[in-house]
Amino acid sequence: MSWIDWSVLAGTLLLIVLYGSWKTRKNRNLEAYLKGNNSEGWMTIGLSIMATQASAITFLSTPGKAYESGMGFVQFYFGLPIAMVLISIFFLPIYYRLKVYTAYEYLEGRFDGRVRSLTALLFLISRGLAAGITIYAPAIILSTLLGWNLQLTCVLIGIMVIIYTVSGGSRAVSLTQKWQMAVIMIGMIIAFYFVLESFPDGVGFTDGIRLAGQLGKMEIVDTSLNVESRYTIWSGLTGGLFLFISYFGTDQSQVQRYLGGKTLKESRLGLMFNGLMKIPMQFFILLIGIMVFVSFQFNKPPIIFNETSTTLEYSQDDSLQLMRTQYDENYEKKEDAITAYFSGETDAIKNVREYQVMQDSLRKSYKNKLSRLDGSYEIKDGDYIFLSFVLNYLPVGLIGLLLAVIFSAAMSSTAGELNALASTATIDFYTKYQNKKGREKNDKKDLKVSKLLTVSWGGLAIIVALTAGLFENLIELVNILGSLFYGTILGVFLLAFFFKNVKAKATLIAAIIGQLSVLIVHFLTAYDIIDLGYLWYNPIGSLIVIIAGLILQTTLTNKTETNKTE
Amino acid sequence: MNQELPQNKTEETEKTNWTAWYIGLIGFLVLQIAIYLWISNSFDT
Repeated sequence: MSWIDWSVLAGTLLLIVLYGSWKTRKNRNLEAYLKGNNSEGWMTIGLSIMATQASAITFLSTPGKAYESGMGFVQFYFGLPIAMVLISIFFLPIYYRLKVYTAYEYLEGRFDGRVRSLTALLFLISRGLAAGITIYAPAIILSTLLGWNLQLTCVLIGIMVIIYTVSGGSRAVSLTQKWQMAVIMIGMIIAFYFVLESFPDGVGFTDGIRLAGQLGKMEIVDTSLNVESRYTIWSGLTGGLFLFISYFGTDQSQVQRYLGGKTLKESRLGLMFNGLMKIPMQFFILLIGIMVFVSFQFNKPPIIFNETSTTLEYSQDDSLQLMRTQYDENYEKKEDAITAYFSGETDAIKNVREYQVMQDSLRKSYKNKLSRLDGSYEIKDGDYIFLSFVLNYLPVGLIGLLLAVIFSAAMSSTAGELNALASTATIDFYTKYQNKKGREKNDKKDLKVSKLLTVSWGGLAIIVALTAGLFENLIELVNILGSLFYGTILGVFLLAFFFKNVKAKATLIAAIIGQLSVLIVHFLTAYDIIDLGYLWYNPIGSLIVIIAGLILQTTLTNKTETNKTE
Repeated sequence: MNQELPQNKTEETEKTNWTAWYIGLIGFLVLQIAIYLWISNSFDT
């Protein structure tokens, strides 16, 4: 990497961190630290919500996903705008009315301290693990492609986030996220331009879209009723809806973003902004992946994108060498077919398709063979595609900017998570039990504890990042992890909002039953006993909690009445 | 901390037509899905 790239990367990151720390240097009490003194406007809230959700994984993984399996992943977000409307109607006014710091505080008033603690604990477990992955995911990719030290990269990202999150709290997180989102969007638009620039003369955006469509990459909506398929319009509108209501309505890392709003109106507008912008943004990022795919029709793609993750030389094995030769020959034939297609021979597209299928098949066989020869080789290289393209095809200076995009995204979502983890640990556990012991309110001490907890969660996230392994596609890992807990958490909140007769004991047992059921379903899926897309865990968890809660409440009420009559 | 505020303090006084916002947002979602369906069908291989 050139010194210009290093300067752009370091300059962008330092400016944002210093800005966040400087602007919030006067935060002296717990309210300001955790809720930013309710000073945020709708734009900051909206961008902050988007930045918390969009981690580095979004920008590394999503284009790779489009490159490999097309645009279908956008269906995952179809439930999001509906979720924004429902949260705006039902959740937000309650949080505002009760002036809560965390979403879980509300549950104590509605049920009791045990339900609040259980739900807060589920959040701490899922988000605590996710924060580690948020740091680890970009670090592993950057370290593999750039030869950086993995541990050092994890520690560096973690420390930079801890600095401004500890010093400025929630407001620093929101303010820096606004600028981080600006860097991210500018970087992605520039990247899109340069992907198009990598096309040969005479081939434009619409030609690219047409070619991608002919090769099956533009099948965006799947209307089939197949529950085994991960992304369909139905799983997006139902499973996705439950996931997003739970994530935006009950996950403190998001709730904290809009609780910092000046008024209820600003918070609602922030949610509307997210509802309007999210799907187009994801569509755009997927489209970049599609354009990278098109670019690799004219520029030979490597047979694997994470070549540096193996120490094995292909020349050491005859079959690897043979596959490489076949891959090169196949690419040359495909290139001729593409030239014929663009010179007006429409039938040539059939040949292009055949050669593309052969190319994918050779790539798969090569990766399988490599993985058998080198146990440490990571077979899923989809997360490396976009960055590999950036490093090879983008001009000097822009590589630094794109790396700043990835770091900004990693830092913005990690900061939101650490801030929320510290708030929940402080409000739902520390101050709650201190107050229970009859302690006088001590704002200074609580602020100190909150800062200490931010550092601790940051430290834990770094440790998780340092010990994490690479699973499937990284963006899916984070969503699978969330889906394991969100169903139960949402079920508890839905019981609280809409089933007023259900009391604390029934809810507590129902939540435990719901959580165990989701974990069982996940293990059955993981061991191929059943085949179910992970988005369905969310409605399953919520419905089990609600049904179990209603049945248990009826049983408990009957029991009490029987005891009374006896 | 967990005190309930009077309803009139938290509900905004100005007249924002939230129903129009919600209908608009869902309408935009439907429009996007319709466009995506059209694109998918155009390239049905």
